[in-house]
Amino acid sequence: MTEDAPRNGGQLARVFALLTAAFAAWAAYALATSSMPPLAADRGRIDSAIELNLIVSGVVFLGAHLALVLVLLRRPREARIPRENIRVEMLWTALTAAILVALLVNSEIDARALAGGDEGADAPKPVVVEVVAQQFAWNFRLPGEDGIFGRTDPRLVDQAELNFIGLDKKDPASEDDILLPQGLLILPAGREIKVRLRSLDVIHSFFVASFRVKRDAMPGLQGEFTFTPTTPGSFELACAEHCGLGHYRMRGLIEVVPEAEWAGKVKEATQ
Amino acid sequence: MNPTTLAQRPSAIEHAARIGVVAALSATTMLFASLVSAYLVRRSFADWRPSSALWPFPLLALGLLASLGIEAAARSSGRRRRQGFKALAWASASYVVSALAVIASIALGQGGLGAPYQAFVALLLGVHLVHSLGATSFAVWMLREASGPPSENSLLLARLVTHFLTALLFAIIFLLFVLR
Amino acid sequence: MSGNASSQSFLSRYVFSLDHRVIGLQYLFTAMALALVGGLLALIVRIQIAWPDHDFGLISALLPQGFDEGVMKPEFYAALFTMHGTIMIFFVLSAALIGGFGNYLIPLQVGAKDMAFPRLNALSYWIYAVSSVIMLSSFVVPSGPAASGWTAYPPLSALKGAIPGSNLGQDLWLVAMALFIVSFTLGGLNFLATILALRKPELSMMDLPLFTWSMLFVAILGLLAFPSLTAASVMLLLDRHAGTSFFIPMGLVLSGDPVPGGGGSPILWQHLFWFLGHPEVYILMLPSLGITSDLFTVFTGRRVFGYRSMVIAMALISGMSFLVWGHHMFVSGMSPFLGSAFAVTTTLIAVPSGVKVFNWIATLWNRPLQLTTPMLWALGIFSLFVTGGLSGIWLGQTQIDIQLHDTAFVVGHFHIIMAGAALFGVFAGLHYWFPLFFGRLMSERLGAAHFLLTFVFYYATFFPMHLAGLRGQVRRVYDPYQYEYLKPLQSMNAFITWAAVALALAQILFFINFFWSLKRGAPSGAHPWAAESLEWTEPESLAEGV
Ligand SMILES: [Cu+2]
Repeated sequence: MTEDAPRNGGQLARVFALLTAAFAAWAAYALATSSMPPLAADRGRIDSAIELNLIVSGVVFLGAHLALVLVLLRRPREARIPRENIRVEMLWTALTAAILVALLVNSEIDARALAGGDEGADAPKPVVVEVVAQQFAWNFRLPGEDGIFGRTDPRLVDQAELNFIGLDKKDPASEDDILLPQGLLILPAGREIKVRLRSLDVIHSFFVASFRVKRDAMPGLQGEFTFTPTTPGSFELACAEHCGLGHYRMRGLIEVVPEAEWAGKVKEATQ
Repeated sequence: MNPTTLAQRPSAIEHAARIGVVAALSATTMLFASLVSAYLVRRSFADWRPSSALWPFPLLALGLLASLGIEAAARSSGRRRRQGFKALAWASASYVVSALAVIASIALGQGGLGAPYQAFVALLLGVHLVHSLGATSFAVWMLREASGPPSENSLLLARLVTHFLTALLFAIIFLLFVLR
Repeated sequence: MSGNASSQSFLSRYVFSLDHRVIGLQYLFTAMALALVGGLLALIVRIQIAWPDHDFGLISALLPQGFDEGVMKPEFYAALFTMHGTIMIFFVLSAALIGGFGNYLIPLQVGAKDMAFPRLNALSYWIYAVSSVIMLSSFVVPSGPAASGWTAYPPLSALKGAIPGSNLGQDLWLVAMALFIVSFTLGGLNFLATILALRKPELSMMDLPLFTWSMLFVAILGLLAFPSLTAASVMLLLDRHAGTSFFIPMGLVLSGDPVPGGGGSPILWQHLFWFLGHPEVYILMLPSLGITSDLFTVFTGRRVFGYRSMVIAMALISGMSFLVWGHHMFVSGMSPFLGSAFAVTTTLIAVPSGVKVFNWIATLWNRPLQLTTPMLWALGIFSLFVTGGLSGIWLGQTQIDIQLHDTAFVVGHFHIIMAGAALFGVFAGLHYWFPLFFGRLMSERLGAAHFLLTFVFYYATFFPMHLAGLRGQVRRVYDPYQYEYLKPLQSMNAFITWAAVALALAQILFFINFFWSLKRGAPSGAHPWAAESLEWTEPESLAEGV
């Protein structure tokens, strides 16, 4: 058995090496030419980070698979056994750590930039939107002129009356609240959007692939995050967290319009 | 298992038993660490209302009695040893019954387990009670395993398990009724 | 052991046996049977993703409650991926690698006659068997099996009205999981005691095969990480039946009706679950890493390069695996500080993993390899570990995770690194130890063909998922093409499904090889490989040809 087992350099090794090389080349090519939905918000940092990682991991991936191919194809004669070499081991440990720390620093810088909105005093105030997820629909609300959202109470939810979020109509602040039709959000291009996100029932997740935005809607908590849509157009909002049998059809639409047309479009949609 | 191997290397088997018990106690510790961290998180919420209606000190006394019983048994022989084991068995059985009574009174009382504080009292005591049952059965099995007087190793392990459970009970009662 | 043909001795010898070798094989065969179930579920899921309106015909006749005139119900789809994940992770891969190989080999490799506690060992197998039956029995429950995903996030898993699977099916899931953990804990303490206390006195820890080392770390991980899911399961059961609200927040409205009670925190479940969940990933990885290193030792004819640092790397990976669980929750709204901390630990766990890869290359370099079937699988693990490890580094960076979390990218990633490396480890081990188990050799030709096909179709199935994820395909969706932007991905999804079908068909070669070799394989002799670990060199450990 031990004697006639196939060895590197033999036919089996060549087939395996060919398949490995073919896979590695295909994988590298497919990833390098892969695409993401066209970017339509101010979050290009995520795209750059993916590109950077693609290059770094591409080099390691191809290097490791090249090593595998070479190991399979070479026919070493009774080779000398390399001695254990602690310095070599230290070297590649340090190298790995250095690359990873660089990626981490980059990630940390990006995370901070993506989390904080424009804090400058002269920047225009963000547009605040309340997003309330439920099985299996998205509810959107704008605070209106006063900038204050009216009170809501889960006991006031009445689906027949189309009061999905339980808005308290007796609260004066709720009078000018704008409730958009379920599943449709209209946003002005170029303005910073501050989303207040919550859920009525189970965990959902607010995911707009073109905006590079994803955040879980946790029941019982309110999440807050910002982004700035840059390109007018319509973009699909997906639920990214399994939320029940209708998870797959929990789709929303986000219409981004030039800022000048925004108020008009919102009015049109709510009539 | 082949009895001759046992005979050949008794020290290895005893060593293995000690490792096994310590491993089981580590897993139990992690279980309670998870429950306690949940408790500590929950108690920082605004609607946390600890109630003083519950009186857990008899439970503590029973836990102490169990520990004292096995210590007395370990340090003596003959009749006094049997008395020690008896005290251990009675204390453990009474503990299980009393803890069950506490949990039942919470569950049947007003609000039941809906109030978070009551829910955690029932949860922590309930899980401890299940472990006490297991541990007492283990201690009894350990001591009866060998025909004749229990070995030093069995006694050591039975003591370790009993004291661990008592200490755990003290920690739980401290968290639930002193720290709140 | 004298041959006795009476049925009672058959029962005591092969069914209710206390012999670690029989128990190991019981685990292996049970896991093999469950793998067929888990694999079938995966195929049905894949067909649904590729062709959502597909008429399932025969399959729908087998499982009528899941289909409506041949078309799958969305709630059944959720039950399928839930059960696929649970069965494969715990009941197949953990059981085969740890229950199977661990039980059979640990005593042999440390030179002990048996496990430290044989009765506990048998008990551990039977609890596993019972928990498998409970898990499978949920398929005949009218409301269907659990359908909240293998992660069982509440409130979805806590509220009976949230999805049909959250009725009796979820209870069965929780009970089966709790029993599985009990079984795993009993096994773990047995492993620890055997390795540490029953090792031959003249055998130092630093002489142990890396497989045994991996079992030591796996046992520690299991003992310390699994209890948090026990705690969470008990709390979720109480929420479901005793009126507590550990995980149910205040003021929920489910399909228009207020949910009573509340005040709890669903994120608490996620912390408890992933405190188990992430170490579980390494519980699946470590045995394969150990087997790979040992096979490289055997089939290159030199001890694996940097043995000591391999042990240290495993220890570091195990220790750090307790500190990374939060990376599953980057987009849950956790505090940015906490997010950064978890990103640091997650990325740095790649350092010891990198050390392993480099040491492997150094082991293989400039050596005449013997490309036996087990060696082929070990080389396959090398490739998977690199590929899946690199995509893991992507996901460990918070800003990239925002885009890729809960997409097909993650599905591709963990199937390559966790499921793939573990599955290849099972095959590597089965081919390598088959002569020890059964006194015969498996066919090398069939083995090589099976390996090459599996290698190709495994990547063909799971690599394109990265591309689908980059294009924004969310996971766990019954019909992705409800979204306009995912419609162009249908052909890619169909490709993946065809690859998965081919992958499944390739496994037929394995079963033919396995069962044919069991009866007709060439006798292996005592020492089929030039291996020096104790399971081969100690004569009494040779099986008597079952
Ligand atoms: Cu949803």
